[in-house]
Amino acid sequence: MGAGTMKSRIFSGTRYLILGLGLVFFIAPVASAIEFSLRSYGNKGHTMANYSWIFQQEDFFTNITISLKLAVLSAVITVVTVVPAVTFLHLEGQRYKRIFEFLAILPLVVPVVSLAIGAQKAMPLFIQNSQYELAFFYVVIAIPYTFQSLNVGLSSIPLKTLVEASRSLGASFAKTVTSVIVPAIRSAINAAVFLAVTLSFGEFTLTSLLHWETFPVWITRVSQGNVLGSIALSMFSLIGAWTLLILVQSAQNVQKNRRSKSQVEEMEEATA
Amino acid sequence: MSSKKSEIKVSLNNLSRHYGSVAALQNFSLEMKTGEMVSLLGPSGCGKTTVLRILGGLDPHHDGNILVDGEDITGLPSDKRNMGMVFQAYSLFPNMTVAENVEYGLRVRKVSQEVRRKKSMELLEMVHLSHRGNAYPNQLSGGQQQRVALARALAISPKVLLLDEPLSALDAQVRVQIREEIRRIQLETETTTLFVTHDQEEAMSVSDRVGVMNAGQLEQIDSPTVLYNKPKTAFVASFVGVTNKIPAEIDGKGRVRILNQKIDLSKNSRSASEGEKVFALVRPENLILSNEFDTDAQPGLVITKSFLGPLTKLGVDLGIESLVYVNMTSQEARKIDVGDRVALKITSEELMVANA
Repeated sequence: MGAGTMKSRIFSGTRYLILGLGLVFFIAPVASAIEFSLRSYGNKGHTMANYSWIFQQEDFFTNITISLKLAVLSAVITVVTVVPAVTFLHLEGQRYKRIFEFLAILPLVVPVVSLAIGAQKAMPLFIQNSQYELAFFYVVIAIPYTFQSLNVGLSSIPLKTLVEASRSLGASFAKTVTSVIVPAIRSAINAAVFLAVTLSFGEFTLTSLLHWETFPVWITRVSQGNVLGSIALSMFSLIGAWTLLILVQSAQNVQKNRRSKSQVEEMEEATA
Repeated sequence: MSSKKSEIKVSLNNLSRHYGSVAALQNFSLEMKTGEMVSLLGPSGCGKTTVLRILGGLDPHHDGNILVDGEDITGLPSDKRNMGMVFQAYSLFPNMTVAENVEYGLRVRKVSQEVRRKKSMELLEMVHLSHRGNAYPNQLSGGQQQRVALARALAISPKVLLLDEPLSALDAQVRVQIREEIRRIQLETETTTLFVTHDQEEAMSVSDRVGVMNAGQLEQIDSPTVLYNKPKTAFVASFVGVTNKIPAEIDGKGRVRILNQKIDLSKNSRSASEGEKVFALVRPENLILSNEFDTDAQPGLVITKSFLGPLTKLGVDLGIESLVYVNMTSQEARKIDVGDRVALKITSEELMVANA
């Protein structure tokens, strides 16, 4: 056996070992939590009782629905406000970019209690009285991540040239954004939307401070008297988030495959 | 046709643009006739791209106005000017196929799909890319992308076609091929075109007229032949083509005393007083080398010899600051080698001078 082959086997072995350790680190807590959530009080074996308990709880569907609505609303507000704002910053505000990059990370360092009180005071009264005000706060909390995602996406395309080309061909700025920019940074927008959705769906502190009830706040309240039920609820949320992630990813893959297929067909046509 | 060609299509009148205290453009005026191809040539930062961007409505200006077909379009935004533009950077929309890119401007104008398809096929055929209609920009070479960008700009039947250094990102061989294609298509479509470039060979080879710019001003605009043979300023003489700067002096009769010769001062040259030390601007093809050392000739030593195909360029040391370059036919140059002593003479009848 040559020294090269030996080296490559050792490298391959180390690689699998690291991968295995990583998987154990990730899977072991989840598997343990699932196993724990299936236990019954009094050690009477494994059961789905803790999961059926979730659905018997009053307000389960009300709270999960409001959380989903808030997540969707946050995503919409992100697309409608953050996408044009970051685009405009790239086009016209290059000299202020550093300032905005700094401002964008502020939600990470400002204590949530300050954000909750300050931001609520800034809201018009009719929104303050509605639970949907939370969507605006979730958008702000998600900005450090959504801004970065869009920032990277816009930096990867020749934005100014594309906008000027589109404008010189007669398109308005709005038409340029919808027909040229959004499709060109679709994956960055998808990532920003996904971040906004997951952050909104799981946000607890700010919602609790403002005395609103959403799915995470409800979980905390109802699980105080049922330890096994609370773990089952956490697993339920985790699996829900994964399903959402897989759905978004699958939608992106379908789109990507369709485009790759047409590109391959075109290449075959061109070389024929 | 000839009467149409003499019509003024574009008038740029006294345009000025400042960046803080720096003037990028000062009282710039230019007229372009219908179907004419005008190039703007000049060093980096001379304001040539600024002119093109102002005409296209992409940059604002501070003074002056712009007329197209006699109509003042000064305040119109770029999307209302109907001007096709090809950029230096690749600008095809990455999410659209080649055909969709070409059709984009027509789609914005709500032209029917049938008409769009027909027009895009015609234009893609014109740029020899009809077989790549379904390709995406990332599947095309740089040259192909610029040809599609040209087709896209022409699809809207623009009043003026604006070309902003469209060849500068391409390799040398493709540049020559595409610039010839641009000229062919421009003549075929009779589109009034403004072409901005820093490459003089590019400008001279495809344009009806070439404007040379310097420090935000138009120094001279003329046909390539006039520009090369009768430059109006020392800047144009030294910027267009290769020019030797040879130390000289003005004599009492207003002539230029250079090496061992006396030559008339060009009428286009700046005035110079008797005894003033100047640099005379002499083109390499206006110098001859021989082995006849008569009184007019200046002796020199051949230091370099570069074969350029039909021509050979020789660098001769005359004992002045830099080598003097002489162009000879390669056949004549076969008699001369590096290290030979030669006699150099100027054949120009008049000379331009610049400050020493």
